[in-house]
Amino acid sequence: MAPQAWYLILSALLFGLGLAGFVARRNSLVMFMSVELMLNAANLVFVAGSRDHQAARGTACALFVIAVAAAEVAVGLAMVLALFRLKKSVGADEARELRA
Amino acid sequence: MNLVGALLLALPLGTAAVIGLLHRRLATKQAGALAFGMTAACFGLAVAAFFHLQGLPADARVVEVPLWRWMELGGGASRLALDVGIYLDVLSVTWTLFITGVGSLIFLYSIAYMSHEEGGARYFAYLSLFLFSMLTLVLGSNLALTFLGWEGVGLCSYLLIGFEYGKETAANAGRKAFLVNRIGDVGFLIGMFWTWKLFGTLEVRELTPALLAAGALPPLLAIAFFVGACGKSAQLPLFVWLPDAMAGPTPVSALIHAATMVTAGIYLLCRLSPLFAAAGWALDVVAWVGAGTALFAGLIALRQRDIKRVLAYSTVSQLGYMFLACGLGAFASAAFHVVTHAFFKALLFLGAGAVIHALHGEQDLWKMGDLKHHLPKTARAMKAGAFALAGIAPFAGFFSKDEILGVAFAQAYAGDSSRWVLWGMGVATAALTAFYTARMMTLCFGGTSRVDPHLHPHEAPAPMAFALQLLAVLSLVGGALLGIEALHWMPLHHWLEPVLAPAPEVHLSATLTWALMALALLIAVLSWRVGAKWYSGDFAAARAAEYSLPRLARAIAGRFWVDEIYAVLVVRPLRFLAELALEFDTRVVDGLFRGLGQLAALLGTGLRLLQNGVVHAYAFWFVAGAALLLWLTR
Repeated sequence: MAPQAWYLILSALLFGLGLAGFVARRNSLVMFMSVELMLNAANLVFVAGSRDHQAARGTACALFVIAVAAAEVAVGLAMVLALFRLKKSVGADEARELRA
Repeated sequence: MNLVGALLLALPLGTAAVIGLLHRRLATKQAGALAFGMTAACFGLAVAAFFHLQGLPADARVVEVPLWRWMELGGGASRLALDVGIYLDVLSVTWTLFITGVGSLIFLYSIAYMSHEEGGARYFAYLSLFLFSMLTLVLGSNLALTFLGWEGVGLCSYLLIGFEYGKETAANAGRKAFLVNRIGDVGFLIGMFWTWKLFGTLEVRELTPALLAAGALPPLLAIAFFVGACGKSAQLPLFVWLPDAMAGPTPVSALIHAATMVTAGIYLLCRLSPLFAAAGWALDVVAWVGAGTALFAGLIALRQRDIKRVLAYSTVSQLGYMFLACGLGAFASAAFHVVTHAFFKALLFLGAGAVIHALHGEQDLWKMGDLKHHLPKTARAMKAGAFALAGIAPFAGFFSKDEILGVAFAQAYAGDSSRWVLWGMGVATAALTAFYTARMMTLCFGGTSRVDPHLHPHEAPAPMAFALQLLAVLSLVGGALLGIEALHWMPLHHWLEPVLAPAPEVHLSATLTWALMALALLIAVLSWRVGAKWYSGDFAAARAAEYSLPRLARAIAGRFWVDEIYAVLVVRPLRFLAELALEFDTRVVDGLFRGLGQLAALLGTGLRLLQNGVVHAYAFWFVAGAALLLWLTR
């Protein structure tokens, strides 16, 4: 069985990858996926912790996160779809009408 | 009697309220008739009060009408309870009688005088409010109520001087009167607080016996009240507002600035006469200020061209006589002169009003002359007033003025050498008075006509003429009726005796008294003859003669530059201070707040740059913020 640290290192890598993608990419779908990556990095920590401590609470948290992420996807994809209809593009930079 | 007292205040106040509220709907005649009816009713009430008091024993002639509790201040030893009440005693009823009596004649006169003016109803509302304030001043049962009336008459005076507020001179004169009076009011207030501290009461009923029993009192306390009286009664150095007050309508000058309001100072002195009598050197100050003012204003009156200004300065001068009498301890003589002065000065002002009315607003004596043919009735009536002012027997002013000079002479004769100077100043003023009165009358009614040939002077309408005639009769007999010292006929003095501090006991022999009267009469008549002769001849020569003593003449014509001195000593420093404060306000205070506003705007402009609508920028800042939080909570 792999030691606890490995899971944490993997989780940190995934989180960093997600963060970089979220900040750097222009495509809103890719940004979306990056956010999912970060959420799942957190899930990985929860599950690994849960197994390490032989306690179910971490797993329960992970299930909550999955549920929230699903809801978020529903809203988020709807927004991306609306953006595409409006601008014929999913580039996040296309929508800047709310500039002050 | 309770009802009489309450109505004396309620009627004028109610009338003022009714006319004031309806002044756009009421015609001048209607408002005037209402106000005149009210004043006449008040006079009737005053007469009723007089006869009621007369029926009481001499030392118990007081009716106090308590109305309601006004306020209660403090607790324990410093508790002050003030009631609203009406205090009818011999002094207040005397004042009430001539205020409402002369007042109703002036109200009657005003109906005709104001019939052509704009806003006549407003005028009568102010006039009724003035009557209410003056009666509150006189009839108030404590000094605080007197002060309320004191301020009320000041306000009404301001409103009526500036009645034609469109004219800048009138508006400025109103403001000046109000401001100068404030200085006096400070004195009154200080005196009132001090009295409260010393005696724990402001009720006249309790105060008079307390003052009588107090022994020696601090002179400065009396001086504080005297400063108040100086402001209201236009004494040196606070007299400057009264001549300017002539910018108001002429009946107002007659009522407020000659016959009634300006005597409020004398009333205060008489009311507090036990205080003044017990306050050491304070009375000397009063006497010297009074004599000085009498002489000073008499000199200035010599050279005025405006008929109303001559009368204004003569009022200041006559008020000086009254203060001189108070300063000599002869409070009853001062009250006597107040009453006769009310008759003849109201007459002179109303006569001047008739002349101005006839000449369509001309007030310059240079542009009058020979009006006796056009205005014979006015001329005859005014002559009675002029003789009374000049102190020619048997007109009213002779007896009262002679009595004051007699007191000064008697005290000097009894060994007080400084009184010789006061007496000399009084006699000199009497000579001046006769001279400038003769000058005014001759320039106006005698000599050759200098009237604008386009004008056709006409006699005053009936109500005005009636008021003039009645006042002329009063000016003729008023003095002899109220007191002739040489004959020991002094009903007014005996009437007032119980409330006034007793005059110092000095008696002159009958021969000396008669001789003094003859001397006073001789001086007045001679002076009158000289004045009349001088101005009835060649007008150009007389006018040239007025400029023949260059320096003194210029000083007199320039009214001794009192206004200019005030400008340098008071007005300009105050204006400088005001400008400094303005600068501070606009630069520092406003600058501070404007700076705060600009800072907020700047901050907004800066932060606006963040709100660029680019999702990536938001994401970046979000991440940066999260990182900052992590770093802060490490």
